[in-house]
Amino acid sequence: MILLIYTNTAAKDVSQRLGKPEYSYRFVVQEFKPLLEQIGTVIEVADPQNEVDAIYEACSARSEPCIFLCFMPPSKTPIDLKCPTIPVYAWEFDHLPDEAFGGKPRNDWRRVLARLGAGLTHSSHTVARTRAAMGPNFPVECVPAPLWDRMQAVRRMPSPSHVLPVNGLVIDSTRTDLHAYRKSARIEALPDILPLPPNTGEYQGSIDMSGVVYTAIFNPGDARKRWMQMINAFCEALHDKSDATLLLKLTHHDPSEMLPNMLEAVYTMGPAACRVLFVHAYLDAPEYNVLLRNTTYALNVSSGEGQCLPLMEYMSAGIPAVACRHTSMGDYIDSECAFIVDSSPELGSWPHDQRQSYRTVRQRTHYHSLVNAYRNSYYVAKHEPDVYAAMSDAAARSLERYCSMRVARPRLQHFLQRSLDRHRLPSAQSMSPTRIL
Amino acid sequence: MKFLLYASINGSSIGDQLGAADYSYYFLLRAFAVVLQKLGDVIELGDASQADAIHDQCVTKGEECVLLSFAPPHKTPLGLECPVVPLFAWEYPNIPEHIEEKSWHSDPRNDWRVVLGATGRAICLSTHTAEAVRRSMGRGYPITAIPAPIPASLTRPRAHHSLPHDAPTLLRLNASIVDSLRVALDPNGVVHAETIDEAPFHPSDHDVLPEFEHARHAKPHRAEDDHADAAEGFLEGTPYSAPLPCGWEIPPSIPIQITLRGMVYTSVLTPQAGRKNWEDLITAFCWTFRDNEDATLILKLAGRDLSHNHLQLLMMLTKLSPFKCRVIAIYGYLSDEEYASLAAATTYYVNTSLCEGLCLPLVEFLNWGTPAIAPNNTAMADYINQDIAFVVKSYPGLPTVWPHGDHQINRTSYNQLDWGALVEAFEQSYDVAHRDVARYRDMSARAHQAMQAYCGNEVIEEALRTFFHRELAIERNRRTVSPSTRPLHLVELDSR
Repeated sequence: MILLIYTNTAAKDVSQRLGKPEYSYRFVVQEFKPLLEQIGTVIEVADPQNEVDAIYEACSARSEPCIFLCFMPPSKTPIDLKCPTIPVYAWEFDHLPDEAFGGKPRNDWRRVLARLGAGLTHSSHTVARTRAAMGPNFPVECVPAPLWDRMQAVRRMPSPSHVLPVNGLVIDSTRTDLHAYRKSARIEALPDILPLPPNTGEYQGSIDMSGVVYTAIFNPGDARKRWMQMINAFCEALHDKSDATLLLKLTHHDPSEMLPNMLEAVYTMGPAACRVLFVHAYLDAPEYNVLLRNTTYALNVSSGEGQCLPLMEYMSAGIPAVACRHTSMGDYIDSECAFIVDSSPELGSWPHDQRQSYRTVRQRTHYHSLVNAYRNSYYVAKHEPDVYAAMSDAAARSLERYCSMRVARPRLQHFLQRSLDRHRLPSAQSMSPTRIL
Repeated sequence: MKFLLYASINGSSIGDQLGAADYSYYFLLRAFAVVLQKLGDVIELGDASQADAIHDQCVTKGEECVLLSFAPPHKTPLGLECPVVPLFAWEYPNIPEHIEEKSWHSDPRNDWRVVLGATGRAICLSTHTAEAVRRSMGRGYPITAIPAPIPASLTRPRAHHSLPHDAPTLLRLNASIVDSLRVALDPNGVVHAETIDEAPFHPSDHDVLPEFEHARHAKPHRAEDDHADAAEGFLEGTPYSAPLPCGWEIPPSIPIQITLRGMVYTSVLTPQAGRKNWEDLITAFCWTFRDNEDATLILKLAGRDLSHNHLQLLMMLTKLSPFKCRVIAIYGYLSDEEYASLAAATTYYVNTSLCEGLCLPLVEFLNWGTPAIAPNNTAMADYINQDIAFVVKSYPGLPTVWPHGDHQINRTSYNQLDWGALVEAFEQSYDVAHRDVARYRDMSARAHQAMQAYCGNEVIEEALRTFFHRELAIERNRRTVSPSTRPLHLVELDSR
């Protein structure tokens, strides 16, 4: 079987495209490749319109099955290829985009999915929301990025030193003049953005990672990540704990516009002994693993997640979490492996809708629940090593059930086979325009 | 017994001052004056410094005299011979204990313990506030929670009215009014340039892609026939006009007649007080009733920058559109009669605040027999329960700034509202008013009874009598002892 794959961020461009639309699909592709290679011959295309059908026709001529997995939202998936095309998409809201906003019919994902006839996604939440839009029998399957197996080597790695080698921008809240980032100073500076602290390069080579470390890896331009609550609640919960660190690793090509706001968030909570570390640096695999293994808890309080690769990596490697239990996180977060942060619905918009119309429901993180989760998790890390060890094991086990090759492979194989079968039966295919009312 | 009443805002200026800092203290003064008149002579002072002259005369005549200051503690007049009782509203779980804000200019009164220590006693409106004060002043500090008194009944309670869905209700107001039916709301009118939508388009997409039913309907079904009064110009034989068409400008204040159908939800609030949380109110209402033209939300809005609030409102409604329900905004002051007619037209009062020192409009509407949708946080914990309201969950502890400080550092907290629970409350309340009239009437009757028991004039008269009886006895004792003797709690405070 030939498996054609595509996403719009080329591997070589990913560092420049961090924080831009769909950049994270590149990381998903990287995680899927080993699994796909177990199932068939993988060919990554750079230009689907010109490459996919040529390969497909060559395959057809020799009767070899061929399928195109487009790692993109349905709205950006090609709709006019002869090759069976399946969008592989992440979605973290309650309502699939079901309006042709911007004058573009493809923004109504229902129309694209109906045309393509199937979809592949990464969580049972997205499967349920897709079926809510498309009908209960729509062929859509949940296959998360199968990264669990890869992380087991990291899990078994001997404990690294408490020094994180880093080559990039680091801001340590305890060594920064936070008063310079108060609200009035920020407003006075407008339209300019306040400059970064002068000592951001001071930490080159090493960050001390001892103590209780909470790590969140996210794009600071993504409002869903709720960094303000992360910071505020951390400073409130552990303000007197000098060995507590909140490490925010920023995934963005240029976070200098957002950092002053993040420093203001630390300032608003008043003097605190705990440390907030902002890290904007490329970490190679060994450095990334040192960060992971020095992390006590992985942190996620987003308003929604399509799967959340960093959280999955950390938990697969046995790092318990402080996290919400909604959307895709509902598939792997439970009280055995995480300190659960409560949440409840609120109104939201589709992130790519330029009208920013209220069209869907997302999750509101409960602030005080997060404060309690920080306090309880800190206590466990300091005083209950047995509980911590049990949570670590539970995290690895939970993610094994969610995103190991053992789980993902048969599910994906079965799904691809059914997709090929549907494509072969002309009566079942939905390539011609139909009216679905 | 003489009661001198002082508030920084008085009756002659209130029309211009709606929504200004402390404006609601005037309403408090007005409400308490009615009851205080039964306990003694009431004199409203324009200037607190007039108090000592009156106090001197009273002392000469052997009459008790006390100044009630309707103001936050840091604005309480101090240094008077006349005993002062601060009467204040406060919606946060702690009180200022440090002169920590630059804008407070080192004025020691901004440490409220100093003021409360000097006055020696205080009245607040809620148990929540009394607890906050006791945490700072000590358990024994004489603070009493006495809510604003309300008269037995200004109108007949709601339970005796016909239910609102029985027939259309006419509401006549002389005010600036925005009616969502008269605003050309178009979600495509807003473009957020920073949002990136790179979805491709090809002209053949319309033909190639299978069609689906539109997820949202653009227009209210029966706008034309049922909202016939939405025509322009004066309504025949009356000085009233239908609501005017409205764009980005606030419409002029003129006599308007509104025909209301179905369930009417009303909220009275000042949007610029962020704690009032009108975003949750409007989004939850329009989301819940997006397919229901029988629900109307009336917002009676006050504030110093209504034209800004108007833009905010239109932006919210635009992003929510299309919806079939109706949103009406009333900007500015209503006369007492108009206010009462608004209450009479209302099925439910809605409060979505993150914290409250009392919420007088909510209390008033409940007293008129209008059941509520409200959280039971802060002061509302004293009177909101499921007998009279659909209680919306909220969660304490969200950090925020002092409302009267520099707004730089979070020094207190308020609540997060559960938006999902608010949507459920809208759904359930609609169902009850629509299908379970007996329960609605029961809630209505209980609301009136509960408010009379909570803050009816007689109840408050008794509470005030007890307070002053005790405190003036202490005051007399204090005077007979050495003048340098200071109340115990003040000594405690100094020794900290």
